Amino acid sequence: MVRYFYIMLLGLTLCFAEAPQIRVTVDRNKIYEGDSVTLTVSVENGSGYPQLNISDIQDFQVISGPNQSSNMQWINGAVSSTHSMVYVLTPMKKGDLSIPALTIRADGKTYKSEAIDITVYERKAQFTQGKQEGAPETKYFLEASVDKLNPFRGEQVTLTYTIYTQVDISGFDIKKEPRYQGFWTEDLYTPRNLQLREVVREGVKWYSGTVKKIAMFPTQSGSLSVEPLTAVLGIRSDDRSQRGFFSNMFATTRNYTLSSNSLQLEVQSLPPNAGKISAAVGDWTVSSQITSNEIKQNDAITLTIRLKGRGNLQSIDIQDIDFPDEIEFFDPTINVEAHPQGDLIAGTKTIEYVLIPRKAGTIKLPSVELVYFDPQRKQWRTRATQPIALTVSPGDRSYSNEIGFTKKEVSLMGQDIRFADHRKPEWRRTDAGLISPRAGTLLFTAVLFFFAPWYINYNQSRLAATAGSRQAKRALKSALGTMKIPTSDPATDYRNIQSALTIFQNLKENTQKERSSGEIIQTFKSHGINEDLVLKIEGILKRGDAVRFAPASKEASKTDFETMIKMLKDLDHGWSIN
Amino acid sequence: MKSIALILGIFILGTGFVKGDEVENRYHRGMEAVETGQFNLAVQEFERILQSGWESSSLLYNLGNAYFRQNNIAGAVWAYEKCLELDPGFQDAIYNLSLVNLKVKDRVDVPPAPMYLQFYRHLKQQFTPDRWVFICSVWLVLFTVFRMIRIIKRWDQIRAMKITEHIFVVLLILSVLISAHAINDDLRIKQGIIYSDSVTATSEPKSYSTPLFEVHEGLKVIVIDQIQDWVEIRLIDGKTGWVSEREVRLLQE
Repeated sequence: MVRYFYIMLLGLTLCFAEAPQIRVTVDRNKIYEGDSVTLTVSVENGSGYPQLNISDIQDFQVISGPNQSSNMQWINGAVSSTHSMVYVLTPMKKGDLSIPALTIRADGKTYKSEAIDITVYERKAQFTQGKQEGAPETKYFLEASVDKLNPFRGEQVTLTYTIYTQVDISGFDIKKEPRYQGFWTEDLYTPRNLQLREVVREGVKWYSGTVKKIAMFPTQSGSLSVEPLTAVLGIRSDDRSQRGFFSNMFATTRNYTLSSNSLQLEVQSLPPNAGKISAAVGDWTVSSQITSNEIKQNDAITLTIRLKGRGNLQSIDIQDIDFPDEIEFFDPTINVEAHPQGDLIAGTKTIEYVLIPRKAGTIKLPSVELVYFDPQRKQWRTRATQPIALTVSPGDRSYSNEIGFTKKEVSLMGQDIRFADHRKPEWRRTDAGLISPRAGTLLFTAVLFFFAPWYINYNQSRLAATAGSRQAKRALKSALGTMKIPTSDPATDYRNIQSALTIFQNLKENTQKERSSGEIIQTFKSHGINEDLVLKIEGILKRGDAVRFAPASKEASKTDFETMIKMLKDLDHGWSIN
Repeated sequence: MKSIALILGIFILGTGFVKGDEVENRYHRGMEAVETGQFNLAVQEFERILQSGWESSSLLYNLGNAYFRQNNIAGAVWAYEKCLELDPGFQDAIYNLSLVNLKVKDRVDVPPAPMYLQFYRHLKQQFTPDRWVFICSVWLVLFTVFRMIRIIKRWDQIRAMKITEHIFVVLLILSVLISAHAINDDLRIKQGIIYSDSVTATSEPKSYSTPLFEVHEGLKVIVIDQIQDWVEIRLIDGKTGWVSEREVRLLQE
């Protein structure tokens, strides 16, 4: 029952509620550059927060928001609610600016607000208040200032942010720092608690305090700008009429967003320096120190170079040192100690080289040069240390333990190369094989030669072993050589026949003896010669024996001669070895 | 015998190429440039001769000198090393290489080898593989002649002759072994010289792989592998890594 009562009450409430009302307001219409306005878009009696697009606002930059707030009141039975979107805007220029009409959507309906005019006065007019008609009375502002607007590249510029106020400040918080594009920066001072002191500017009394101090070193020449710094300032309210019982006990604080002025610097480039390249700027001195002037070869010593002065400590550097060849050196260790002198960056940079002399004798370390630009004198300056003489006695070791030179190598130091070779070059192809034709040929010949004795020996043995057979093979040829052509004398022809047969048989049997006709016949028979052939030979030999006692006809002797030539070939074929 | 003569003839003629006058002319121009201190021109002429496919120890030595005068450490080391490959006994090249090696930033130390190994290496490096083959051939011929004389003269029973013959055999075997080792080394081991000021060797043949160690110009390295544009190098202390092929000039091209 109770539940139904509440539902009815809510329904009645909604029925009697008013239609939504849109309000677009700003807290101030007249401000100075760097100051801010608060834009509030609220919906009264709406069911939710308004929806709007603020990209149409061209003259202002949103530095905070949207922040949402809601409020509901029940007065004399009437319920009213307010939903607000709050933006903090800062002007992007001075003059008569406006927040254009905004399109706002609430409870499904679209509304159009009216444009709001805002006058932005020049920043420096703050100090001449009252003289400018309509200008608001300013109570606080944030100022950025530099000690020089035309520095040289690399020269220190000190940037100071100062708050000026005529009201009670309860807090100060830096919201957005510039990017400092084109500068290398280092923080000099940021207070934990804001300390204000009384100052008079343009005849007006202010309380001022430094909120930040930065050392800037331009890294390029030309026109460089420093964007505004944005901060939130807490101010105690002095509106006593609105204070209640508890308000009197706890002061009300309201936050205001404000920006500093931007700065424009014209950075001068460094004048040309003959020969030596350096980026160092400031006022510097250089000194060097060695751990000992008398050492042993291959022992380590430390060369310490100190650069002391004012300027960019990180970028200051010496000229390259041309150490003698007899000295081995390692990459240096670098240590930076800052000792600021007031607002100026200053300190000492220590460069330590570990040196190992690799040769005995007197070695001279060259002077160390520091080239820098002095912006006070507007000229390049060179500072140099005195050269250092080292007396190096011979070491105990011939080799260094790590990466040193041998004694032989050290003895070569300082020597010059042997010069041109004027001999006639022995050309060879770059793609020629490993072994030259000459060496290859010689090797081949040598191997052949190496086997020659064996070959000769083998050949001789073989010849000796086959002498008989080779002689036998020669028998026919030798016998035929004896019987070339028949003569006119039958007795001579028959003698030649007997002689040929004797040679034939001697060569076949490897003998040297005279043979009678009977012995010849007997020998043929013993070597398996055909009987018919033997009989024919026997006939011829008998006729030859008879010629000695009775002459024979030429025709008969010629026939026997030619028959014997033919028979010799048959004899050679038919000859068998016993 | 005819066939042997034919093979020898082909072997000798097949390896011979005709060297044009252009090579000699370039060499003379290069030498004149050396004499007049125009080392840039000298390097240009000498390198052109190498590109045309001809080389000599004198050419490489003079090229090394020209590079040295230009303060091109890597070029000088490469030329002297290449010169000593052709003529290991070239004393002036050995001396100049020692001088230029003093300017090489990287010094890799290895423990000294045993004496016998040092002696062997020293002996092997006295001659090129080609010269070792020549020496082998000479020993073989001398041994054969000596043996033939001993057999013909029937000096078998003379003790001094036997000892001399054994000495010949030992020398022959030693020179054959050294020749084989030298030829094997030459065919198997590729070396090169780091040609860039500073090179970082990486664990893989890729530009984004882990850097392992840094080497500098003039360092002699062993090339153990090659993949596309990358070569794997090994230092004499055993470190291995990959570098771009462009950073190394090979000695055996």
